[in-house]
Amino acid sequence: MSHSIYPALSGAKVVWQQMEMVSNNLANVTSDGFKQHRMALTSARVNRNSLGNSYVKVAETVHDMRDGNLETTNVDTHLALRGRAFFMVQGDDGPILQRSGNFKVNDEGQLVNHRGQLLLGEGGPIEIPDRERMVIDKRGVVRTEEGGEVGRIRLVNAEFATPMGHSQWRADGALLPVDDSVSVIQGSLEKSNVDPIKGMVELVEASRYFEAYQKTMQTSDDLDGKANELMRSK
Amino acid sequence: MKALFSAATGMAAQQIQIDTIANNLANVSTNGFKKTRVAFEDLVYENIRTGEASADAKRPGQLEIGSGSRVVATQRDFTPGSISQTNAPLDVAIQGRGFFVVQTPDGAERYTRVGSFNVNQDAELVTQQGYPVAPGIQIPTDAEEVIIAEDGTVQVRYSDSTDAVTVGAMDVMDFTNPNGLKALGGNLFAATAESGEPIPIEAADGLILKQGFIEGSNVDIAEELVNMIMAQRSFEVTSKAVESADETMQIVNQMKR
Repeated sequence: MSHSIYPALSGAKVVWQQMEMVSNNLANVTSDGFKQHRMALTSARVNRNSLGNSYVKVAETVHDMRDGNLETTNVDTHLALRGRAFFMVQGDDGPILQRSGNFKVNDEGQLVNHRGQLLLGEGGPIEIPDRERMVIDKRGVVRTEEGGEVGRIRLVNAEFATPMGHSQWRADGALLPVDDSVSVIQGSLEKSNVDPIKGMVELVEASRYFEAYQKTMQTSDDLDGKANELMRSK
Repeated sequence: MKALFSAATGMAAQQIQIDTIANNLANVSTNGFKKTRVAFEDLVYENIRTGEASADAKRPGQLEIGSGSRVVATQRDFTPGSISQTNAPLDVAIQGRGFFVVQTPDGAERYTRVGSFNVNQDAELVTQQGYPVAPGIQIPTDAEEVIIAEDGTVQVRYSDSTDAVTVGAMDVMDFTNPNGLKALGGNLFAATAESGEPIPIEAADGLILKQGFIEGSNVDIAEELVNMIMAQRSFEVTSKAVESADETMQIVNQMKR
């Protein structure tokens, strides 16, 4: 039996996963604060024979955390982050990170996300008194139009963050403070950072690689077939 | 197969985006119309392998693949529309926050930004649809002039006098969360648990009414067109992902001859 069919199969499986990932990136080309994913591949040498057949596998999915473009909406409760940072909202089982700054005011005057979860400030939820307009500066300090400070938005960074859907992230590992270059922009939303051109190229590439792996598997099968015929013609 | 469905969710989301843009554009000249904006989010992730940081590996080798996107909410944008002068005495625009209160025939209180009023056969001040303006204001038929002050006080002046007589005051309400209001069509909104209870506002709260002016739609055509192009292209790009996934599966099917 030819062994080349298995490395080719591992390649085809990885390419298929890559295609699934690119499809997800492209489907989120308009999701606020979405960060595109890519895959880091690694080779795993399993056979200890002299041929040194190696297999390819996905080492990990990597999140491209670069800033997405800004869309100016002029809505006071829309906030965009620049630099590596997350907002923190109050989930059912503790704080959750999110990058999307699509907030609104609830019936009690508190800033909440689209799921109704409270945006956390340094001293608890941010509450705007008496339906006043709020002004949020670069550092995340929230003031009323007259200048009275009502709180400061808590910005954090995570050692490892895992996407959970709903534009939210779970912090795995330690929460880190954000550096001084991080800023908050009021009246804007951060768009998805998916690059559709790159996505299209990746799709074409994945498609062609898949074809190549298929050809390899077919050739491998052909060789086995030929070997079998040898036996028969004896 | 996941690639097909992820891409399809993207296409479905873009379709809703285009539907919303079409509605915004159709209302570009509707007085007091407030545009809607669609918010998208990513769907759940399939964790094929969860990362665990070990001593020799500095980064956890997690492998997760998402399953597409969806529309999470449509948000109404209550930024003021452009105010234009009509000189009609019963046209009133609200500068800043606030809603007029109207009484619908089923007895419910509804809220509107459109201050284009009329007087009905019972001399009541009504909206274009004929709903009385709360709390109920009578404009005597023999009145020469109607004066609506910035604080909502309605006065009339008769031809035989130079002094104006107060006949009532318009109720103007605001909400803690106007985005939570339910749009009923016909420029009417209903209060919900999310919007909170209506809060009366007066001149002291910064209420300014402008008689002889009307608030237009806040739809920005250029912005909507740009969004439409974006939606169309996003639709196209996700349809290509469907095509690619399909082609790949075709290759799989050809493997067994």
